[in-house]
Amino acid sequence: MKALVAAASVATLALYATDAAAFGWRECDDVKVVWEGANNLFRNTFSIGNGGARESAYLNGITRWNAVRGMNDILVNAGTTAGSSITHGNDQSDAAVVPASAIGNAAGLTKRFFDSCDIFSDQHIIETDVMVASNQDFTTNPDEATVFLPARITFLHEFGHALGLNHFEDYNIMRAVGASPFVGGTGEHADILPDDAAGGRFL
Amino acid sequence: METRDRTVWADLLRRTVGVALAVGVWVAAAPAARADSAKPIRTTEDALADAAAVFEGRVVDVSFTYDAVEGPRTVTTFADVQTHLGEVVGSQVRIATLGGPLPDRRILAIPELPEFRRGSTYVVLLTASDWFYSPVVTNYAFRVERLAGREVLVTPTGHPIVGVTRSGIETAALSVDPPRVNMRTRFDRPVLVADATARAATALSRASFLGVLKELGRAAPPRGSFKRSIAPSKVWNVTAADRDPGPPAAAAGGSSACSPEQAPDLACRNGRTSSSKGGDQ
Repeated sequence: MKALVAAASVATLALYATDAAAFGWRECDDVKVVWEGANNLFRNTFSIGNGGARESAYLNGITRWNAVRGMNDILVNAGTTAGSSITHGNDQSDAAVVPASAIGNAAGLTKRFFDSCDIFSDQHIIETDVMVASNQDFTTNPDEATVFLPARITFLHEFGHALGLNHFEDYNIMRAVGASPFVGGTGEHADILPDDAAGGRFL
Repeated sequence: METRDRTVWADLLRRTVGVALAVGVWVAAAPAARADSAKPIRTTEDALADAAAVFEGRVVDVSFTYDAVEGPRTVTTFADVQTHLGEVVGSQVRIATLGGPLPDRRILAIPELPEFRRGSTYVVLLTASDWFYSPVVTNYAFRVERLAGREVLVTPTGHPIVGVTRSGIETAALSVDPPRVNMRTRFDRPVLVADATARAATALSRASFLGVLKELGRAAPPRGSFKRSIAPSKVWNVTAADRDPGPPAAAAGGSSACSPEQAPDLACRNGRTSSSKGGDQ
């Protein structure tokens, strides 16, 4: 029965995951590489304190992804850590704001850990450490569209990686370079776009 | 090579198990960035100015190493190397990108860093900066594809390059690569989508691409030298955090130190009420 369910799932995926999909992901032998459950993120309070613009940008990223229909609570704001650094490879997903120099002057960088892709089990994401460079604008300032490095967009982009999405060069949040799509209205201007949402739902 | 052999055996075994399942035999299954640049790279000119060299080479080997400080590395070896701009880098280039298998079989992968495919030819910008993650200037690593007799270049996501200007790289709307990357074959040449030729119809030829790049390189020439060793400035599994300046003073009940004139200042807008740089700990 389990094999039948798996076969049906693969067939369903094949229908949806055509080469026309405007998002990218990883597979291990035709099975998408995703979290087995939710991604429990631990916010580093040394760099993303309570009540500031950084926490607002971080929470906006989580909220926007979880607002996609069909993928509620995939990203969980599970707890906090307080140290002046974060550790990678400890099976705990961390989110931190870091000096740009710590991540090669990138706007953001996510270290993703997977278990192995072997013959006995599907491969899964087991840890994602999201780092966003501190030299960006974390606010919701209405003039944000003129700012080159909008941290709220960077959080959305890196959280996409944390969910399992790869880069994709369409005009969406997961674009590798110059991903600065803003939505209109007042207040929050950073949101995921339809292709990103489709990718999230697919995963 | 050993890894590749294991992969071949694993594939064979998996197929065998698949056949066994198909005939009704139950087999219990186990339970189930970007290069380091001296400053942010925003334009092609920025990329060229950060580069020590622009080279073209064919990937002849992808292997993996692990070190407690440098971490898991994917080592790509390019042969038949031609230097198009900047420092002449020799006939063979090896680059070690952070990511790859850990001793306990977990895998670290960093989506911001380019991966290279065995047997494929690339045009790569190598940074002149000290580097830890990757020596490639952001994702300026373009694969050469021959489609309908034409050589064109594609981005790391497989999007054909249709234009190069001082301000950036313009790509076609659709990638010639499948959107899915198989973890088992991700270092092998990709099987392109069926209509790859049509998707790359407006792509620049390889010769045109290199011509434009060289033209731009005259205005912002690569300089410096490519550092072949990983900068000993970081440890792969620990990253320092940047101290949060906290909420603006106004939000905490005090008066904000950010005047309207200061609004463009990021430190002020992000909550810093003094000129403190915050804590790079």
